[in-house]
Amino acid sequence: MTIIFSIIVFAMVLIVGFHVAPLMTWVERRQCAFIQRRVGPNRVGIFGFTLFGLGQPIADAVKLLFKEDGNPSYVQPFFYFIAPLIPSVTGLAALMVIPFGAQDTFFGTVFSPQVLSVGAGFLLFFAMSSMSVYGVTLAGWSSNNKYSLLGGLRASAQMISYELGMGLSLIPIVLIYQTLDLQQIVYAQSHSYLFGFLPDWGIFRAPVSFFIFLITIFAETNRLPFDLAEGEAELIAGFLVEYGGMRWSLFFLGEYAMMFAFSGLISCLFLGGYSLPYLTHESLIHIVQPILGSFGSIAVFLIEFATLIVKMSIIMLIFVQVRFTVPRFRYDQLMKLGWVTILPLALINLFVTALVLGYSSFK
Amino acid sequence: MDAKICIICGLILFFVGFFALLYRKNIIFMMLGIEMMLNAANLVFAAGTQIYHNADGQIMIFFIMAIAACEAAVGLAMLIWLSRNRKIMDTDHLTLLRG
Amino acid sequence: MIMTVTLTILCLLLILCFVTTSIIPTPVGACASLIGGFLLLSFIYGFLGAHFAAVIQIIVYAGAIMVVFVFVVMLLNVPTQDLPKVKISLADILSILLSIPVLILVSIKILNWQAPMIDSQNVEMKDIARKMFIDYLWPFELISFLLLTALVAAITVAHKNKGSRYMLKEGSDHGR
Repeated sequence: MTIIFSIIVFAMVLIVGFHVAPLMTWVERRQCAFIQRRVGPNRVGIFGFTLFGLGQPIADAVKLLFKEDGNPSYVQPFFYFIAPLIPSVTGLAALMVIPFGAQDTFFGTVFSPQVLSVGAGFLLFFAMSSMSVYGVTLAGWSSNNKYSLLGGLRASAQMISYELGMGLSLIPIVLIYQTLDLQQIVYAQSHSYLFGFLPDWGIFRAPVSFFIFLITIFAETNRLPFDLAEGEAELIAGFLVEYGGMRWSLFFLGEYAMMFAFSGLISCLFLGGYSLPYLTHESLIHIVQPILGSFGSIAVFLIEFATLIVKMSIIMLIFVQVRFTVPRFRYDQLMKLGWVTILPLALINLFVTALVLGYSSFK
Repeated sequence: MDAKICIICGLILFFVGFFALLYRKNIIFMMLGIEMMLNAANLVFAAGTQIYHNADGQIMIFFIMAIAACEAAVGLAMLIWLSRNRKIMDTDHLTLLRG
Repeated sequence: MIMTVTLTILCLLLILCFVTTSIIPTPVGACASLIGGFLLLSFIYGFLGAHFAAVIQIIVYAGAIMVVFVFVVMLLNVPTQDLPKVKISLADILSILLSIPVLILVSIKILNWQAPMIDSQNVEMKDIARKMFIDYLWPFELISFLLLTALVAAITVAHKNKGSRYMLKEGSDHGR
């Protein structure tokens, strides 16, 4: 029975991951339009029902499916085929460590809404984001095109530079919550209060970590203001220039899935995860139990799932808002920011956090 | 039994890496052989964690990885220097010290 | 039983990946098969219960070291190596033939070895961290120093420097 529940959770996470990309294209275009004081796509509809233009992603998906799958003869065959798969697979795999609800027993069997719960915790996340560098690199190289090679190499150098800052900025969180397991971190965040009234969220305990992490995940996912690799497609050529149709959309599936996974990680580490601010899992069950009986666990799981999705959506909206507000960095400015500003800041943050925690536990 | 299979596999991988190091002429391929040998040693240490249920095996894996990173960085830097200044990438042409 | 069979299959695939790395002539193909081998190796570490090692294998080896290798291969246009030898000399045959008995003898010794029965408890991350910073503190600090030295050395050697004393200049004597 536990296996069936695990498969259900896995299927749910996969379905959510696959549907992020089309929804995000719609959100981007509508939000871009609202920021720029226009309306955006609102005409595509099914049988005359245009619901805020939600037919647009469906139309785009159908168009991309029916496009010709061009197999150029001048590309490296094996790597050209594999390169779009790497961002997609790693982006979807990174979603597997995020807990979508608390562990509970439902009719006697344990139901744990986290697909992968190993001792290494959210380090698996960094493993997946390290592997996603290869998608960009191999795509740039296999296109047999000097411009896309340079674009791909620059993008991957940017990604591995910001991985350092990303990892270092999360060490204070591990020091504070004393564990790598995301379920434990969300549990600790919902079950204690700072100063008596603030929930013990990571953003109140380690604000500098939050800001550094937020900046580095923009660089990790190649989003503006760090999207020199994609933005070059508007200027000369990017690493995507030889890809068309479904292969191109696989890159964006991976990018949006990785963005979604990073939003999930930020929500779980800094914003309290699936828990509502002043309610713990037990108090929710206590509220729901008299009404629904033993289906209370499922109702609470759905509430927690919805809470987490709302928090992830807020972070995704921040991603989109920043994209259409801030101009793009030049490459040397980008690398300088990563190595000269973010890395020392993350190290100082780690040092200060360690000092404060050591002093307060020494007293 | 699992650990023993992994130790034997590590032995075979060490030999594979060793032959790669000996039979290849290009420096990049030789460095790949060195990485294979280091990973074979890592596999034996990981098999050790299965047997002894200790943290020591994983700590040794960590240290070996750090050393491999240093050696790869320095080796590739030397390769870049060689290919930029002498246009050499095969070890057949590195004969300056031949007596 | 299933674990043992799966582990054997994974080990055979791993050996296949590494042999492919030794044999394949293109450099990017060799690096790619080595990365595949590292992913398999990480999977094997997970099977053996070394979860920390599995994760850092992907983060450090497959995600950082091999990226540097792939960078250098792509930037320097490392040439496709011609297949090493067409005629196999006596030394090659002898070396491979002599290594097989060594392998077999050592394997027999390993298979007959009695592994000590230690009660199995899962090794948590906290145990690893505790051991690292208490028992292995001295090697840890030395490794950090080694990394710093390697960093400085790599930057110094690979730095683009017009006045390098050991560059080949056309028409001038070397080394001055």
